[in-house]
Amino acid sequence: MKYYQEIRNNFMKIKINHITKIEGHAGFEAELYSGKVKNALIRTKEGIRLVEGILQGRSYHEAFVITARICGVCPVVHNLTAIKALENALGVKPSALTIDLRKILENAQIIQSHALHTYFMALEDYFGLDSAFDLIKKFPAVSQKALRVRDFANRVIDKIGGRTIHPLRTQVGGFTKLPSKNELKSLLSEIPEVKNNILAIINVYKKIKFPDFERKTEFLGLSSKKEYAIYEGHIKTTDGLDIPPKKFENKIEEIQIPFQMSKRAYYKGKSYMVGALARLHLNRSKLNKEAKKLIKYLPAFPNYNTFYNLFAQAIELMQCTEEIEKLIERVLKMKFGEPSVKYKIKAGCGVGAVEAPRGTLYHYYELDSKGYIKNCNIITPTVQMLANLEADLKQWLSEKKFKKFDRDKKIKMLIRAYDPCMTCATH
Amino acid sequence: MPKDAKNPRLAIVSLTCCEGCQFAILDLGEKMVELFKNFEVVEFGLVQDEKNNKEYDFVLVEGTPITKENFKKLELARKSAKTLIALGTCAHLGGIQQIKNYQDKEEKIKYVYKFPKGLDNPEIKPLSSFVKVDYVIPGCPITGSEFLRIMTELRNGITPKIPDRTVCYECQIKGNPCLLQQAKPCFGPVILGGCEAVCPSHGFPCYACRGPVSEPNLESLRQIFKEHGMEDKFEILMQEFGAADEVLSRNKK
Repeated sequence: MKYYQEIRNNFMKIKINHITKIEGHAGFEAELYSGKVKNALIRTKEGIRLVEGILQGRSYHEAFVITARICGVCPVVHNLTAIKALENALGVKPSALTIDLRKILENAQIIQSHALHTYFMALEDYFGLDSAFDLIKKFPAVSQKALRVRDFANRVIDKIGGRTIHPLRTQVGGFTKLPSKNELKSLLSEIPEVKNNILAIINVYKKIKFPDFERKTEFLGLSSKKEYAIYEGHIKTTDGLDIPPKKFENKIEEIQIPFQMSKRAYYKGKSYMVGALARLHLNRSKLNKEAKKLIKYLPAFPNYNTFYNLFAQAIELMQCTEEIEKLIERVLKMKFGEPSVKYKIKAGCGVGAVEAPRGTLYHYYELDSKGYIKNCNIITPTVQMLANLEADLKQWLSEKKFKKFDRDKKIKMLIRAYDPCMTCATH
Repeated sequence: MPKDAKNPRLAIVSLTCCEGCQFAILDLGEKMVELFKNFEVVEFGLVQDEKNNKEYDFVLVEGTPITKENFKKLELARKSAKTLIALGTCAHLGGIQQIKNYQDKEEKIKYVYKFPKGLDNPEIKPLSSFVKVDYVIPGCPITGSEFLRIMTELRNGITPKIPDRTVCYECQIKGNPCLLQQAKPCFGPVILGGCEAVCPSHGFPCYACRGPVSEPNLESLRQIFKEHGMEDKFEILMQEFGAADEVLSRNKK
């Protein structure tokens, strides 16, 4: 009897039903025994939409329309990754102009998502506020600037992709329509102000004292000798992996825990980290001029404090803006001819890998000779980071022994630092 | 707007979907902030922590119910709200996830999940199959300007109406080249406008995400598809966003 009493006294369950201010819905559950966390589980609240299943048997040109709908915050990257994978399957070689315009789109996608998350969704945690509306009241001037940064990225997506949410002009082979050079010039003229606005966000970040936390992990992302890899590159890790994207399924293992709707991915049987902080670990030597200057505000690398993922996102706002500037300047020197290349439908397999705001996104398609999808697989960044986040939560809760009244806040704070997207995790 | 002592309470409730409609609201930026000055926003999970009071004047529901929790949430939303508005294609018609209704959903879940046991996999239906829906703001995603208009009208006690005109009508006003004439499978002639023909304006055919006008001339459109050798695509592509059931049922009336 005494024994059970003791267990009961030492056993504790933590349950948070709804983590707000992340993309999609998730809850958190943990079991503690004598203060040590036994299980930590992020539970998705999104239903299963079976996107890979519904694509099976449908035509290839539906894939990039349907997969964009996996996520309302990063539709552009799903759309582009699907197109890239399909082009690899069909042997389509898009023009240099198409590739550069897609790179601009993807950099804008990252800015749009980061500006929302790192500023409007996550920053409140560091100022004791509950909502973005309160944050806007507390910092009206910087908030205005953060909104403008996001608006700029949306305008870029709108001008090149045709719409900010669920792009319309992007196609296998290129675009249905090209933006005019004047539209691009007008976007270019906005960039100096965008950079100033980003510096104002960085100034807020410089003042934040991040929680003291560290847990060794592996970082994974695309990496390229040419540039800070976003749209193309090899898959690399901090422990030396270097493979082309088409081999990702040999190294990344996707597992479903029974009764869980979000899968988890592992590398060498262990959890790993993707996203802004991972990209800085792998590619910081390739940062553009202004972004490189901001690196000094982070602690030395390797940086195993995953709270800094938010600061890394803020630095990427600058990186991506400078990249858009470079790319528009390059594109303006090109000849705008046919918006798309012609191609023939044939059987084949193809992989696409692109850096999404939250990490590397993989799409795989196998097509039959008429262009119908025989098989497909999508591994999202959140699927890859989920187990790592759970391992971090486990250690953080065990180490810190938070008082009950602020424990839930601390849990949400670490979850938001990862910026998980549950609609992507549960596609 | 009338200067009421108390602004009506507004909640945005999200079931299973991509949440793109919430982003479309957010993307309105300062216009959203202006609009929400006339409401008390009590639930908007994307940008604020939850509050406990569940009494709403208006509730916007996006997504479709899939999990048991989704169903409870929808039921509670209906109970708590005087006016329930279906936000976006998923809530209105079912969205991309209802494509599985035309396939073997048991086979599909086994294709995606090693352990399908215990995972909710119901047939996908629009909100109106489960609760009374007072108004619809259609589209995948919704059109920002239309959202602003409808919400402003509701705030002022005006019954919002979407003109019974086709996407084709709006497309022609814009002077766009006709995609159907280029043998592209476009549903513009039978689908409800209000989206400013955004898809065909960018060279992308209308895939029926806003549902049909009141009297769609389906046979004439089917004939055009046939003439261009696209007849096989007629029903398949109408399934894309869940419009097929509704469009085809209109035809039988």
